[in-house]
Amino acid sequence: MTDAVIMLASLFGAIALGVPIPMAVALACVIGIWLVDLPMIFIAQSMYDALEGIPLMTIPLFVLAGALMEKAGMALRLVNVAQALVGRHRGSLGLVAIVGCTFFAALSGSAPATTAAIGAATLPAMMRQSYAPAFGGAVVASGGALGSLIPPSNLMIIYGIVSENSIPRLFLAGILPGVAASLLMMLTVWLIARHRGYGGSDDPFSWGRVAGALWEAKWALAAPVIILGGIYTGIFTTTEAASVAVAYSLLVGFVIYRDLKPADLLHCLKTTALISGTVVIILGPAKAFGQLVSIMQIPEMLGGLLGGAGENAILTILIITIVLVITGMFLESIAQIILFTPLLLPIVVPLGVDPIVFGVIMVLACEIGFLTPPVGVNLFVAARLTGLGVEQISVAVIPFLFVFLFLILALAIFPQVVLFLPDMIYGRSP
Amino acid sequence: MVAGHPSLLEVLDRWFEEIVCAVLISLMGCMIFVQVIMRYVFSNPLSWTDEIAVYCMVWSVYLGGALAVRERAHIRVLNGILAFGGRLSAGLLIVSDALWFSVTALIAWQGMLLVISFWEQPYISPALGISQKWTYLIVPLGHLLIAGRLGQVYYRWFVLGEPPLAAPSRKEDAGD
Repeated sequence: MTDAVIMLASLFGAIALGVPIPMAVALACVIGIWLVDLPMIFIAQSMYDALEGIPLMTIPLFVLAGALMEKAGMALRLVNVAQALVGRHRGSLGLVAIVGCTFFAALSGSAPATTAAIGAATLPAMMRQSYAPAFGGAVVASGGALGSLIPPSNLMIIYGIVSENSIPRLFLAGILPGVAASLLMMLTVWLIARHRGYGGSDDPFSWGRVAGALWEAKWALAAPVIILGGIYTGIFTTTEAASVAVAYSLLVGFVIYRDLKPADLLHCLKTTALISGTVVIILGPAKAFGQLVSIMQIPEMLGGLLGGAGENAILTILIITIVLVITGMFLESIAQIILFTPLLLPIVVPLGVDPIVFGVIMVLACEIGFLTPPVGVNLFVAARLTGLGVEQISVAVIPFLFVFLFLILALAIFPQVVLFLPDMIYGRSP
Repeated sequence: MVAGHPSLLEVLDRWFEEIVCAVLISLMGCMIFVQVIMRYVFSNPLSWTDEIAVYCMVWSVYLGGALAVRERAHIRVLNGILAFGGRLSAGLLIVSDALWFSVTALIAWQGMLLVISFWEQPYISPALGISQKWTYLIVPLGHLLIAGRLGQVYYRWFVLGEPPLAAPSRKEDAGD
């Protein structure tokens, strides 16, 4: 018990002191290894072993594909489709941004990348139409969070690896909640836009215009069909799908649209290297941390702490959500999934919560983490794009946080929504 | 950088991790993609592509970690220690980085012991027959590089007077 408290306290202490999060986890592991008297070489071993898995390569490859798709001009063409679909409504540019994010989320596995791609394509127009920049930033920051809910999704991949669940099943499970989140965010945008009197575009809606925009964007729209279609027909694995996504975006960028330049390729590779070096790097220490957590029997202790509330599945999920929202302010979301899945999944499974449903709920809770300071990656991206401070955007984003909280509650009560698609395609899980 | 030819050290400082990571990530993507092509186009799956992809992955992660020190891209919560302001913040930042440096150095040391153990009891990879003493070398090397880049931040701070939390390449990259 005291070992566990000392290890967790050193983790949070190091994070509060500003030690980068993966290194803070490593520090906690070093202390934990010393407390339970394991050989110290254990940490070096897990630094290598944790990164060996083939499914892990999906993450850098989807990051690279997403970066290339943005530079290749796919984001812009998807925004044009969204403009043709919802452009005439009140607050249309906000709606366009959400719909654009929803489309781009089906190409990209990362929330900040979705914010960056769609934000760069829609924010300048919003500012021209005298939207409050903070509102525009909040819209693309929250719309971008769909990037990790709508497949492909890096967070789902990590959850699938850590919890040993099928990644294609998790991907399917994210679709309906993702569409629901998108619709609820559009409603939020529409209500705020009506309240503030933002206008729509003057172009009337026409099917011809929609068809034209769809045709223009056909290469971008084909990407999710190829990526997800390939996974579900069993033509390639999730990792191979990510490499196909990279190859496809190179093809579209260099040969078809010709928007991509060699310098862009180097820039995208550098972006990927930085994500690997700052985010994926946590897998090494996290593997050792996960093993220490189970050696010290921390899930059992946490279950005991929940007491009577720990017998009700919905109440337990709500308590877990609150914990994840609070820790999500300080932890990056992949780190959060890696660190908390081994702690929390053993608590909820005996209560009859399906691991797939819990995965979707954890991802939703992490999306709130994308949108809350001080470590809210989407906020940083939106702040950079609008030139505002993170504080201003984090205030404007608050109405959208309720969308995610509402969805978590709704899915905890009606888990059938999550399981509908995976059960339909793959049959009921055993 | 000022006009004239940059020295080898300057070129390495600016480009080393970036270029090596770019090559490793490209190679990793190619290896995975080649597998799809070989299986469907040539019906002749290769056994060794996965292994190369794994080495590229592990090496690119730790070299990317070193690149991220240079670019000040690591994700850390600095609001707490910067809230104090002035010398206290600077002192806490040094404590924070000292903890980071110590953990990284400890892992580099233990990683070296691990590599040495593979010299004594060889472990050969199944598909390519590569001794794992070479592939595991990234654990000590990568962490030494991360620690070294962290030391460089302090050299630039204390000797050259550059701010410790701003990326140096922003100025150089302004042109592109």
